[in-house]
Amino acid sequence: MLLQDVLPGAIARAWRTAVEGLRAYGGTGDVYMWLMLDRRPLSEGKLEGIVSVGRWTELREPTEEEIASVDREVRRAFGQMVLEAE
Amino acid sequence: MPDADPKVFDGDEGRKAVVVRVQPVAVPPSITSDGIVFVRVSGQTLPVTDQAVLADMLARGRMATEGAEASAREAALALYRQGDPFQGARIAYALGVASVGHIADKSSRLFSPEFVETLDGLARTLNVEHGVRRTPGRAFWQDRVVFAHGEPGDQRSELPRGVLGWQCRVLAQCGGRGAPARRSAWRNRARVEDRR
Repeated sequence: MLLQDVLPGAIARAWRTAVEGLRAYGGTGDVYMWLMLDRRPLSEGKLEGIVSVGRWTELREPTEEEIASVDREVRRAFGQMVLEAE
Repeated sequence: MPDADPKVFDGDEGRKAVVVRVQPVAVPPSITSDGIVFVRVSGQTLPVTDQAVLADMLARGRMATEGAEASAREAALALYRQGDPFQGARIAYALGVASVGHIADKSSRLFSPEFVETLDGLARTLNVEHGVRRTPGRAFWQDRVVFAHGEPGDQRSELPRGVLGWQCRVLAQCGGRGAPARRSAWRNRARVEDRR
């Protein structure tokens, strides 16, 4: 499993599932999402450390823009050159 | 806007009665369009004119926000450190979410067949979308829900099979956990930590 295997699809699915679980659980108001990725297995051992990304969002599925924003941030943390969306 | 749940009842002579249940906002205060903050006290709703009351409401709002941030971080970190709760394997990523509030009668929802069905449906969907045939794991407690799914580490990872036994774990958590956490300066930024 490499970074390209989990970004952005798997992360987005996990995010959606978590929010749906939170909704079923009775959560209300704004939602904070925190993602942690282990760089070692996701880079074939070339990188070390944990990447953490947090976002304030709402109690709904993440939008395309939110997913793309997290995707960019994670890729940069893995050393990739990623420009902001126009 | 607070959540509102209106119910209409038919009365005599074509009359109708409406009962509106308004849930408290998760992050107080709420301000009306004309700039007034109201507070609900026993039997009545009053405009806030005392600075101390307003400051208290703002503080409670801040606590709810900071509590959600701290809970989401704790959730992801706990999952990450603990490893897979269903298979005991290490994981590659963990995701935690927390809301600033929750419904008042949460316990009545938690221990209902509908809630269990919903969780099972979510876990199944998560797994089907990933194309994993293994039965997904899910568990819930009074203060959190955990989903786990994934598959054995593939050959490209060059890690022993089973080490990457699960791709992802998701924890949905709502409700505060006591003391508010300090607001962090690195909010919304990726950061790399040394793994210990």
